[in-house]
Amino acid sequence: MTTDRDHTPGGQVTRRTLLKWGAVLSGAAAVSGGLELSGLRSGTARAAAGDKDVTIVPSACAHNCGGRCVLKAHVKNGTITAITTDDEPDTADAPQLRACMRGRSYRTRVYHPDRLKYPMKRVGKRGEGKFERISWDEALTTIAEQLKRVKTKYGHEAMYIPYGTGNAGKLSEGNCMRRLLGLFGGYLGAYNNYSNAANTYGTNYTVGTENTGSSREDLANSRFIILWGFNPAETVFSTNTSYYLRRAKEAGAKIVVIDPRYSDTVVAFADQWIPLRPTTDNALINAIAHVLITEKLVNQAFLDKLALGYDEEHLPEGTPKGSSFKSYILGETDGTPKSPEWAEPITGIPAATIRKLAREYGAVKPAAIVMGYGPQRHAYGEQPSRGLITLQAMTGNIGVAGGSTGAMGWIGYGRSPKMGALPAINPVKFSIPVFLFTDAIVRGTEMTAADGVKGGDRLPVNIKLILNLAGNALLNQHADINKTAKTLADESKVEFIVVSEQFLTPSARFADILLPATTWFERNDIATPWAWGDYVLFQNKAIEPLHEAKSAYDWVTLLADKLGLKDKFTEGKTDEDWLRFMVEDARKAWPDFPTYEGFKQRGVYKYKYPAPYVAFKQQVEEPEKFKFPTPSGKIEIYSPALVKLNNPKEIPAIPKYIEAWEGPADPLTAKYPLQCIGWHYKRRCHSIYDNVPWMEEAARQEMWMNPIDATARGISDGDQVKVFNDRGTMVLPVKVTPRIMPGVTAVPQGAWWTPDSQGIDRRGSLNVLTSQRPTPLAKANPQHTNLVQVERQNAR
Amino acid sequence: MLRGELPLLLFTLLVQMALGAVLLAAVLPFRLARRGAGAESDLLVRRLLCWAVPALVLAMALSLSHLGTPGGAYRAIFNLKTSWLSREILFSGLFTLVAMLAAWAHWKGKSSRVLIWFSLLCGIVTVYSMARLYQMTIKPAWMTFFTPVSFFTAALMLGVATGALVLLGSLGRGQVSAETFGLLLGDLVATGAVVLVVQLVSVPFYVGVLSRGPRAAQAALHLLFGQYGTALGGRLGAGVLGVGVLTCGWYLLTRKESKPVSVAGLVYLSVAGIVTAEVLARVLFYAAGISISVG
Amino acid sequence: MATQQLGFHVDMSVCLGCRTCTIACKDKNDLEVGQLYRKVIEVEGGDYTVTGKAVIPNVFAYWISISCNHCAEPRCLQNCPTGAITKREQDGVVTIDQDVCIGCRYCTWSCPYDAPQYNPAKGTTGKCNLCVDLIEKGREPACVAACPVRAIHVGPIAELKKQFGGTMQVKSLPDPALTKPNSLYTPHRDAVRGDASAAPTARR
Ligand SMILES: Nc1nc2c(c(=O)[nH]1)N[C@H]1C(S)=C(S)[C@@H](COP(=O)(O)OP(=O)(O)OC[C@H]3O[C@@H](n4cnc5c(=O)[nH]c(N)nc54)[C@H](O)[C@@H]3O)O[C@H]1N2
Ligand SMILES: Nc1nc2c(c(=O)[nH]1)N[C@H]1C(S)=C(S)[C@@H](COP(=O)(O)OP(=O)(O)OC[C@H]3O[C@@H](n4cnc5c(=O)[nH]c(N)nc54)[C@H](O)[C@@H]3O)O[C@H]1N2
Ligand code: SF4
Ligand code: SF4
Ligand code: SF4
Ligand code: SF4
Ligand code: SF4
Ligand SMILES: [Mo]
Repeated sequence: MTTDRDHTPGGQVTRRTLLKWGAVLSGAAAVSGGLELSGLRSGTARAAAGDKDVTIVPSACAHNCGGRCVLKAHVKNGTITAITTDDEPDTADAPQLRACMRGRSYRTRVYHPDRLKYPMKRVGKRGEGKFERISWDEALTTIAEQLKRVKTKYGHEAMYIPYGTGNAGKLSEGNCMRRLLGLFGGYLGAYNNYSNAANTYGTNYTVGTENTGSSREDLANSRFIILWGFNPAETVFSTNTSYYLRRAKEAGAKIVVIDPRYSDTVVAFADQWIPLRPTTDNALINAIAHVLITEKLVNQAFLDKLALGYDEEHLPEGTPKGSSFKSYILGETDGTPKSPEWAEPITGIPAATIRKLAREYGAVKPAAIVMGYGPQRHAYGEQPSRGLITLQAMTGNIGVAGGSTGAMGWIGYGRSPKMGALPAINPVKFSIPVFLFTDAIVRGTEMTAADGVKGGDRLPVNIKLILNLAGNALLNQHADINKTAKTLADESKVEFIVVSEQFLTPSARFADILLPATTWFERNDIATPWAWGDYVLFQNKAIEPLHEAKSAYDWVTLLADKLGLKDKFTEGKTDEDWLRFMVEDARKAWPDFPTYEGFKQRGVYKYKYPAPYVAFKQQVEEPEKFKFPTPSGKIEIYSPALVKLNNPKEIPAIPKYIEAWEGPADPLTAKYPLQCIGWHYKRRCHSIYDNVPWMEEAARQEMWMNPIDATARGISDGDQVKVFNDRGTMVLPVKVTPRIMPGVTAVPQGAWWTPDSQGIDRRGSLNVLTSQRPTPLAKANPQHTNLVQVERQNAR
Repeated sequence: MLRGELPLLLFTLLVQMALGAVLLAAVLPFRLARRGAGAESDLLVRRLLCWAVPALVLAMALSLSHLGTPGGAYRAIFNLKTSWLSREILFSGLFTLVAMLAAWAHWKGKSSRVLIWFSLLCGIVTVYSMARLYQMTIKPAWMTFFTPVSFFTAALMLGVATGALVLLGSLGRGQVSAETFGLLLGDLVATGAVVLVVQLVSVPFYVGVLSRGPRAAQAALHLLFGQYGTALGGRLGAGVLGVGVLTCGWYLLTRKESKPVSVAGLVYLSVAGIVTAEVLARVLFYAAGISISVG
Repeated sequence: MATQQLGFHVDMSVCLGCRTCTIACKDKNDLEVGQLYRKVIEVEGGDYTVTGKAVIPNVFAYWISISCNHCAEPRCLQNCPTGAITKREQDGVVTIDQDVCIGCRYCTWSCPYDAPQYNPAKGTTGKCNLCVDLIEKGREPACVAACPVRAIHVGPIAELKKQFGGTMQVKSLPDPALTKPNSLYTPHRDAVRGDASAAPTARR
């Protein structure tokens, strides 16, 4: 723990008098982005010079927010009085890990008056939100009894830990509980996530891995960058990604953004904005491919060498004629060339715009396409990823500096230090896609491989016991809230629900036992980057747990005791012993990883690679030696594995545009004429911070609507509007803005479901409108695919 | 803008009313001197001061209530060098003090003429500072000639209204003669008419200035003729009504030799009209105070 | 004339509108909802041409991150009745002495940039003091050190001008002639003065 002094190893605060500034300024080399220009150290201390009793404790912000940043708690008399961020030297090589506004507001979240203060048990009907205070002992005894009861009555497959990403620490509730339940005998497993499941299937079936990403530094080598449904200005997408984009822009890249919204990323970085109707990305992809082919902008040599099924000549043997991507694009089998003119009425993008984009993209090298997850959180979300990889292959932009794989993906995992983890083994082999957990409650025993069940033919039992830990996807973040709420309220279905939370969220209202959790400032833990980032963070406990809140490791240990598993669970270790164990693990592979004490004191370990990582560089440069990890060893534009799934309409062998249900061409538009997408809002991490007043002031919950659609409905800016479809209704304020294309509306996802007596949501929680119908291949969540109608709501 | 600033809005109106009353109190003795109506004059001056002083005291209290730290109010006169607000506060304080002194002297039967004139001077400087301070903001609707015009015309109009009430009251108790009543009412009518004309004529000029102004000025115009259109109409109508009715009363009085008391109803109506007009005018003034800052 | 006038440079052309500067400032200065020493204004406008099923956008938007500009001719200071507002001799920083301010709010009517913020709980008005307490300790102001794209810079305004250029002539900001602000903006592509696009909507 450090006091208000320099954290730089060996460094001292350089006190520069203001008079010296001129010299400092003009003398400093102008690092891109103006780093270190002022001669002042970045990083702030709120404490005035005299404030000797302020201790600055390094910690880290670690929800599933898109980033992972340094947070420093300024603690005075056991209370956090201010929060600052990374104050180590800020260089172009190792930019500081600066927190965003959410992290900077965290003090108000820690001391929020609504924090859960003690364990509670439900007293009203489930979901009603009526609770009574109990002791930790009573709470844990109840949980232990229920675990034993369900184990005997239904077996371990009836126990489930839903998706929940609130605590990204190594010692999170989820990690502790998975270890304990594993020792207890197991639980129904889960795979996929709500983030990028469709994309992951898309990339796995095309390039054989989900690790398709290159280093962000490499963006500066691009001449042309298409940000495809990618909005890092808000989604962060790993700390400093926007900063790297700034550098790419300054290095001269032209930046095009394809998004139905004029996103914050468009504002900051775009040379051109191309709005397209949600769910129609593959129509645009096809049209670009059409121009590339017809105007001879295709890198045929690259494809011949590295791709499967681009053209008829490179289809696997025995494949029917006309099955190649090229044939599809040229309309050789279906008679419909996928030209810009074909795509115009589908996407809403003028053919001329598409043609110009395709020509530029085909001509300027290297070009990067960076896809966000927005385009794949849709009905046929597997297709954009496959299509974009195909485009990058056609232009030879894969595996080269300044290029990209097209589809989003994590940077090769090999690049980060392998931190140890809390060991956990699940003896139960069954697992389900996370998005289908409500199905597994209602009709689990009917679910088979067709529903994505893995580890066996058919689930032996429905879900009967839920441990919802640091998650709001039990209800709020899952699709179709009204339907989910009904399912959860039925005590004959799930018989027991435990929730570990910091607040009484919409999910927490459905708890039978509700446990108060700490925040990271109240415990020790380790956090790794969200996706990219060459660093690891240590979260130091800065203050004592508030109220009766307990950290995961503490209460799960107590629970283990009640199950007679304490010794097995702890192996005699304290939480810090485990963290030390993880650091030691990392040090084995990374000799310059600091000691536990050094790491803890500095709060961060940053490392550096000599050169940016370029995904698939080896495969492209030396294809004989290095193969793509696909069955054919090539980029599978045509995937024989997908053919085997025998659903060519929804799971085609080549990337195709598939008209989405609840897309712009669905006949349902007669009733619900507007598309309604969501987006990840800068003021929230999913549902987190929804109750933080500073964040509501900074970016209130409101729906975006184009003036053309608003005028047609007599709606003006700031009105309360009613948004509805067959699944639900919400009322929220509207922002009438040209920043969204006509025909499309957008509600930032994550607001807390707040039903009134008629079940109308009064906060604008997008999932009252979303559908539980999964994508065909990945069984992923199509939560951006929605049709709605909007009306003006008279004053309440 | 409007709701939060109600104390200030009332403060300006009360101070201006007091100025009008004190102005009457200052000139009235001259008007009546030639007629040897010393007692009547004394009485009317006293009555006018009796309106002015409480109005000022109330105004000062309201201005205090507007402060976040009323205890530090004395510090408000620390920046006379550059701040019109400082000057306004200093002179409004003096105005109140001197008006109180004048009233006290008058009450004690001592000569109060110098004090009244001194307080009048303070009042004029106060209202002038007040106008300047609004002009010094970043709200285009306040930064024009219209601010002093509307503040001083308000003082005169409210003075007319106060004067009419005082006259009527004194007449009712038989403390002024019908003749004096008629004479002074005539003066008030004449003043009111001239001031009204000034007010009416200033409006198109004001609109002209705003329409050539920055975005915030246009927005102010938009408000005045849009959302506040009715209020604007009401303000002009009430002004015309007030002065018109007063004129009628005076006309009846002179022509038909009707009993002065029978015009009482008209005087009340006129006062109501004038006060409504000025209050609405001030509401509009505040509503139009849109800043040039963005967002 | 200040010995060495300090000020800000903001590179609007890369500003994300993320409002981290705003919140870092709020945290440092303990500001309740309703008070923003540094705010980020959203300006937007434009329209669409719809032909058949195609839409052609003509849309613009940009952010203005702005605080007190420590003006050369601070109208707030001139108007303040108590003398609570002073301009520091050594660096031209304009500050409000909380022990002198009486919360009359006249400065809030005087500043073209809406910089002074009334604090009802304290009964006084506060505003950006350029974090002089931090600067004196050799540290950057909270907002500067917070910006994820490093778009805000602080320093002697003459040096900033040399380093970055920039202007106060930004579309939808008030005429700088009023107070001679000591801030510089590298304008966003859509915020260049004289651009005759449709009347923008500004939101806080
Ligand atoms: N501020 C903030 N940042 C976050 C998070 C958060 O909650 N808040 N969550 C984090 C997590 S867990 C994740 S998984 C990521 C999610 O990251 P993403 O999934 O990439 O984020 P979204 O905002 O859902 O979508 C990105 C953009 O896609 C656009 N879009 C929507 N539909 C379509 C479409 O059909 N086609 C195209 N081309 N664009 C479309 C949206 O308008 C949006 O601007 O964000 C991370 N970052
Ligand atoms: N409509 C729609 N729905 C979506 C999305 C979308 O784009 N549109 N995005 C989806 C995506 S990408 C994701 S990743 C999911 C996210 O789904 P979740 O992970 O369920 O979302 P969060 O809202 O982050 O919920 C985390 C909860 O954990 C709590 N918490 C935080 N810290 C702690 C802690 O230390 N201990 C404990 N016990 N609790 C803690 C928080 O209070 C919060 O309620 O949402 C998905 N839902
Ligand atoms: S919310 Fe995410 S991006 Fe923001 S400070 Fe925390 S970790 Fe960083
Ligand atoms: S920006 Fe406003 S508050 Fe700051 S010095 Fe200028 S006039 Fe005063
Ligand atoms: S509020 Fe305070 S700083 Fe502002 S003008 Fe009044 S006294 Fe001066
Ligand atoms: S310099 Fe300090 S006070 Fe001024 S806006 Fe930045 S953080 Fe706020
Ligand atoms: S922190 Fe930087 S990028 Fe974010 S709004 Fe402020 S100036 Fe813009
Ligand atoms: Mo996610």
